[in-house]
Amino acid sequence: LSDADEPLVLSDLISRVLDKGVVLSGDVVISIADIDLIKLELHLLLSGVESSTQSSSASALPRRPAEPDHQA
Amino acid sequence: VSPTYLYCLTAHAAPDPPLATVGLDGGAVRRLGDAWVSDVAERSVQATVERIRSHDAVVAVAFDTGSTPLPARFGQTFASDDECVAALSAKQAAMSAGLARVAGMVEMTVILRFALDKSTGTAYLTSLARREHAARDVNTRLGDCVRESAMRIKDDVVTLSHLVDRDRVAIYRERLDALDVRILGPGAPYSFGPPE
Repeated sequence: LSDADEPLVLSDLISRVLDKGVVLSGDVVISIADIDLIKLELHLLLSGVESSTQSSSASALPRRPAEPDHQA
Repeated sequence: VSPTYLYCLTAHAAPDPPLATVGLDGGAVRRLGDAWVSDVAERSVQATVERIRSHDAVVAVAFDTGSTPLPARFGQTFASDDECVAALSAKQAAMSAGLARVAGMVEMTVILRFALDKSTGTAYLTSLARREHAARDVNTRLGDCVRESAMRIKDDVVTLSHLVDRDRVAIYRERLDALDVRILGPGAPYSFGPPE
């Protein structure tokens, strides 16, 4: 993974650990560190979107051989 | 008595935590029944990036023993060890089923970044369809390599979680070689808990 992926990786980690996993007790007692964590995740998400937009608008699509430009 | 913090559940025959394993705020991780726990100062645990990393690091240590654990959600504390054991006993059947579900398995994650075109209604719907197609294409390529799958969409990021046999991870990666996606794992199966 490149450095550019780090925001995505950290955002995924936060989502998994806070939202997933088994729950034994009826009450999961957490408090968010003020709103720092939410701000951080939002920042990471925006950073990820920004870098994604810069690199490609559809980075999820399969890599394909270059096609001829059909535009005149 | 310090509150008890829960990291994960492990199979009955799984190894104990290595002696040097530390969890939240440097607390020593120990085995309590089939759970990995440590002491914490208070019942309410403030979620910080550092603590989230610590939680996940302990789960990773359990995963690296070779016996797949059931990760616990962040922030579960109990007034005492006895209360933790009682909670575990109350859900013993479900937890055993969950451990059986993930035995010998790992979680792999595929992250797709897909900028949605919101310039017009048509463009937006088209990009939504392309995003869905891209996600479906990943699952189609993986085919029987995956035991179970789950999808999460958050804004422009699609996360596909897959439950995969430990010995099929290399095949899993090979099948996604042609795609420009981010692959995370193998790791503990946060997304695949006890069957509903």
